[in-house]
Amino acid sequence: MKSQRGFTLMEVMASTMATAIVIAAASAFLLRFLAWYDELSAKIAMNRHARETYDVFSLGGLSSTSGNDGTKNVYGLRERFAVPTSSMRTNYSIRYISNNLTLTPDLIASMSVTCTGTGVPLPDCTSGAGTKTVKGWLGSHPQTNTASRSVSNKTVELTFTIMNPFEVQRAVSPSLFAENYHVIFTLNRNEDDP
Amino acid sequence: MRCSDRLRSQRGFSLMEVMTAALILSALVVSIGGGWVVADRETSNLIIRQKAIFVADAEMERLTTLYGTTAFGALGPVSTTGYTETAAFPSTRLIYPTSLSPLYLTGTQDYTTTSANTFKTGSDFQVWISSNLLSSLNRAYVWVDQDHNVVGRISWTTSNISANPCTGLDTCSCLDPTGLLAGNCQKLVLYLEYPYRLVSGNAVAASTLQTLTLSTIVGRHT
Repeated sequence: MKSQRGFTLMEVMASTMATAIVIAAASAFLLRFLAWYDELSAKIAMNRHARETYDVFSLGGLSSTSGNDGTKNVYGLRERFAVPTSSMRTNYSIRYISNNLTLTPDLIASMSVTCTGTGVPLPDCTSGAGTKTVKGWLGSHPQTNTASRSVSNKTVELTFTIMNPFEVQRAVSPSLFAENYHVIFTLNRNEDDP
Repeated sequence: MRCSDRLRSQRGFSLMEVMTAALILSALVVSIGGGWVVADRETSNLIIRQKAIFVADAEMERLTTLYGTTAFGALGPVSTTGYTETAAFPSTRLIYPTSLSPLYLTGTQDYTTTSANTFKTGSDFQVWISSNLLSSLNRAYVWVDQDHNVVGRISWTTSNISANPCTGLDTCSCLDPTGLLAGNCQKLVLYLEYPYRLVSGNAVAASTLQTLTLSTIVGRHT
């Protein structure tokens, strides 16, 4: 009879407690690993968007309709005479205009994000700036400069900020998910842009 | 079954067994955690590398335009030596002079500086010429990531090339650097070594140096 007596309440409680501790620890690790996975994926996605943004600004693209010169070419900065006068960002997404054609290559579903401080959560947030509509990955307006450090008035400096619009909203430090990129292009076109 | 056998079969685990299992589990968790730390570092390095690629490309744009539209190719570049970090790359290379002469760029357009402080506090697009008593030991640095104090060292080499054979009616030729006479096109190889950190006015190699190289053909055309 002694050998079939089962477990005492204390034994069951102790084993339950031990199991709970193991599961809690494993869950904590799992959640931490998932968070790390999110962060790494977010940074890799930012890198990819930086390259895509660079490609659009430097090389342009192809539209489905014809522009001013009868072609479907959306000319990148390297194929232009002057930098665009219109903003190259709308609602945090790229809006690149050339040849009377517009490219908006990185649009995502619209999100409303409330600014809570300077640079929080969006890089261009200011204190009390209210709610922003976010549809892309451009953290600030791309800045061009041809007034200084320009070689033969042909080179243009371009600075743009890529942010991860999802991670900046939930990260403790949103600035970890925004990176500034600096590039220079030569304006190679010799006549006015179409 | 005898009573002693039953007791032996239900004796549970010894302290040594539990400790060994815990040790193995700990090693597993630590190695997985270490893997994540490495992955995180590599991802950060990837972002820095992407920025370095953009910067190398940017410098190539400026050099191509300088060589193509100004007399910079004649007397502009300064020959420097002592690049011995990577045996596969040349130890003698060209860099920017301490200032870009008005012959090439007007004063307001000069993007070089010899002041580490100006470089540190100024635009991301400046080139810092770290001067030495011997100009052949001067070095040129650019910002790869000013927000994270990552600097790259730039230099380049040129060699004359023959642009033949031509196709169609293209002249396939370059003028001499003054733009007045016939000359040679040149192959330009740009080197960007990073990461360096700007510490107390000096560029200090932060860890194992990475070298990016870009090649293009340059020559005076206007």
